Amino acid sequence: MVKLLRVDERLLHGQVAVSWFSTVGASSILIANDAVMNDEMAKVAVKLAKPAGAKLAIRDIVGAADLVNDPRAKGVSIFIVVRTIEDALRLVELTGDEIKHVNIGGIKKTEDSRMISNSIYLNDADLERLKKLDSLVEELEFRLVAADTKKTLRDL
Amino acid sequence: MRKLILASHGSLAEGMASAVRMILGDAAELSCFSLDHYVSPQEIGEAVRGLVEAEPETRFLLLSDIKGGSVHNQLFPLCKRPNVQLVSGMNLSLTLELALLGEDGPAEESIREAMQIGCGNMDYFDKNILGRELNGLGEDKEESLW
Repeated sequence: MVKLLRVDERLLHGQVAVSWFSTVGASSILIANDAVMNDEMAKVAVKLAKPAGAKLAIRDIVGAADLVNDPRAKGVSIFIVVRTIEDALRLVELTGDEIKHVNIGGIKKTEDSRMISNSIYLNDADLERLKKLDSLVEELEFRLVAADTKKTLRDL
Repeated sequence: MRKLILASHGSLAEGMASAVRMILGDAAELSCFSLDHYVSPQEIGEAVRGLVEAEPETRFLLLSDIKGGSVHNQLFPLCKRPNVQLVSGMNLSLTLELALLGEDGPAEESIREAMQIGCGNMDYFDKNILGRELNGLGEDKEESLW
């Protein structure tokens, strides 16, 4: 079962590996990103950031959806990390109701985005995607680190 | 109730606490004692002794920068108290693991597990190692979640 899907532009890094993995209480980490599949250096970096004792799989979005939809996934607690809101929405749409909780962490600034909080910058397209995402999952919340207070789409 | 106290030469303790808070937020209750902010190691020893004496019901986990160093040696005698545990050799990985341990005064075993993770984080890289890691990617392509 999927414990949490997190959106973080930095994918698996120290903060995600240590604090989120231990808070979420998952046994497996799934990195879902199309570009990382062709970036050997990034793959090695992701593997090095893996917390002790965790299982780790790196897939493109479609491959990640296949894993989540696999009946064997029911027996494992999975923490998924994607890089963008667009990827999060794609993955949620490809996996029926397997993903129930979505956390938005760091979203970097782009030319057409505006600051929503210290670590989150959104453009209009992402805002629309978030509204859709919010309607598809049980909980959509915004937190950079696990100890922060959860914010919802309406709080922003 | 458990409290984590970092003690060091220079400003390592404050810097470490700053790094831990960046990653864990304010979840971790940390106090810092470093020689940049205290005149002498003895002063740090006295200050920490005051804390652990004032709260005998609180479990104190002390983390020093280097075993046998002057700050560590000041904390060492505090170990005779039942509410004190002392670990040496702080690094960020170890400190994070210790900060994430449960609230109810962790057992020696779980502290030693955290130390193992801290040690394991120490590693060596160069172009040969990196080349081997990149080659190894092909072999475990089928890595999975179960």
